[in-house]
Amino acid sequence: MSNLIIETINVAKTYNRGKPNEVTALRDVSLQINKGSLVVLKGPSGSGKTTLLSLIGCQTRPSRGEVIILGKRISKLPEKFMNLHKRSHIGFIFQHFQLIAGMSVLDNIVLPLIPEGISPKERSKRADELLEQFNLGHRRQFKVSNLSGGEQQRVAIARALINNAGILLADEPSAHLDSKLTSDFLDHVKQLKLSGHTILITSHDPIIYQHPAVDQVFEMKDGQMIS
Amino acid sequence: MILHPWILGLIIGHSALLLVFTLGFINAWQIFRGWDYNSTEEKQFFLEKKTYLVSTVMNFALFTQILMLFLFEMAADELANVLPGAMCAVGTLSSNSYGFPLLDLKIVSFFVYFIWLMINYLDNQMETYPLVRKKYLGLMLIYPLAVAETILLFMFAFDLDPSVITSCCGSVYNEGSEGFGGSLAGASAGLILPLFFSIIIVLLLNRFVIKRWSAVKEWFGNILEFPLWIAFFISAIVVTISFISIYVYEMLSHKCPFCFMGAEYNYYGVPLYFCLFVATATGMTGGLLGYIRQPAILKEKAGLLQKKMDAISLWGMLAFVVTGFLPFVIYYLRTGRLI
Repeated sequence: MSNLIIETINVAKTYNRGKPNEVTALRDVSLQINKGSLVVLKGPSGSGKTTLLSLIGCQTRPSRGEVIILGKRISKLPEKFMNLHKRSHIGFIFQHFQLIAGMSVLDNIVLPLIPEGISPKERSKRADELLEQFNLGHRRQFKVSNLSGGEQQRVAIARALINNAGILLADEPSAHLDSKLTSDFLDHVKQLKLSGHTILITSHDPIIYQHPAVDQVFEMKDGQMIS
Repeated sequence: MILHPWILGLIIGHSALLLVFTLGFINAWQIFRGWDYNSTEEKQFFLEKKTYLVSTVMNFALFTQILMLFLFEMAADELANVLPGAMCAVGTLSSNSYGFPLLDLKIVSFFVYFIWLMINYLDNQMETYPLVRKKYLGLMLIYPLAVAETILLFMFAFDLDPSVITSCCGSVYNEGSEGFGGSLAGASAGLILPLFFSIIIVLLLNRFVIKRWSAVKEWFGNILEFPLWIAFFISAIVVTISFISIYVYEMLSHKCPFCFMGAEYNYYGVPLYFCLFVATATGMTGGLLGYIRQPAILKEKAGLLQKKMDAISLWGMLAFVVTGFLPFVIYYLRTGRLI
């Protein structure tokens, strides 16, 4: 049985096709990622890392090529099914965390469960487990705007994991963190890898892509995979 | 007459819908011609995005067209107030030679649009767009219906003349009058009632006996289903005019199929026709869904939808029979005799 969990085949993405501001963000990118691995996409700003991560995370669609997650051609799925697939299998940690400032830690974490129709009791139970795991139990009812950067990041990770997603995608997770918090983040990621999650991170931070837990590093430049 | 609010509303509504239909037709052609699900090229991704938009817009347009049938009846009823001789919608429809053909076309369109909406619904339940080409071919084929409806509506509206005396329902649906209305009103209850209930019995036999025998018989049963529901609909209309109406109005001479939709008769006709149209539309669609065999996952989804359609059609038919024959039962229990 194949261990492949993420595959892209000759994926290309062009924004604003036919307009003066047309940008080709990806050109014929192919990659394969195995289940349970920790993979980093590195490259300078504008190299197409975030676009590739967005395609794998079902945030957008390719202009050409195929994205296959868990054996399903997600780039061909109608909107409704693509969203279902995303909600069931993929957790996403955004570069700026994208937490809702006016809401509590608990409410932010349980947000992805609401469209799943999971009962408030079950939502709360799952969130409490994650709050304990990420040492955030004492911040349960705090508004996220009152948290430190490191705590906000842990909330973002907890939110990405609340759906029991097997694939975790993180976009430049160390961009707003100092080296201590980046190291803490990597410890969490390592634990997640050990528990069977597949993790894909975009970063140009050597602390991340040189970390011993990383299994594979892909390098991108000008929308192409160079190594 | 053209400036009457109901006429203006209908003209604007139909024109706007025809515009949407035309755009839908153009897009349907592009999708039908260029669709290649296995392709991972830019053109196919563009068509996949487009089909989501087109099917959503056409859902709205066709649903509105279905509602237009009821709006048209309401408009015809309102216009009777300004046409000399007209007592209800019948007077308006018979005031020129386009009224009844337009109504007939709208009824046919109602069923065609409903079937398309259900096929579209089914396709949207699938991950691989298995019915895309078929449903857009269907959309292109029904486009002429929408065009014809709009043209007929324009002809009907422009030909309405408030200075011409029109016929009232009493003279159109009169046993002695010439024409189709007279023939319907004159249909013998002794003939049409047995025919109507025979069709129902055949429908039930087909549903519960023939279709359950074997796969071959199920295929045959699905073929029978569609014409049987057409027969049910036509016979129900004739029964409504020639028999049910007598007991609603409690008059032998009044057999109008429109008057009882008004407040004077507690809107009795509204639930009656609602049940009839829903039963027929779902019954026809259920029969057609039985033809879907490939791929297996689509057949399974189509089977689930078919079960729902079949159940709704049977309940609708039962509700029509109960609603339709209730005035007769009440009259008989009250007086102990027939009209």
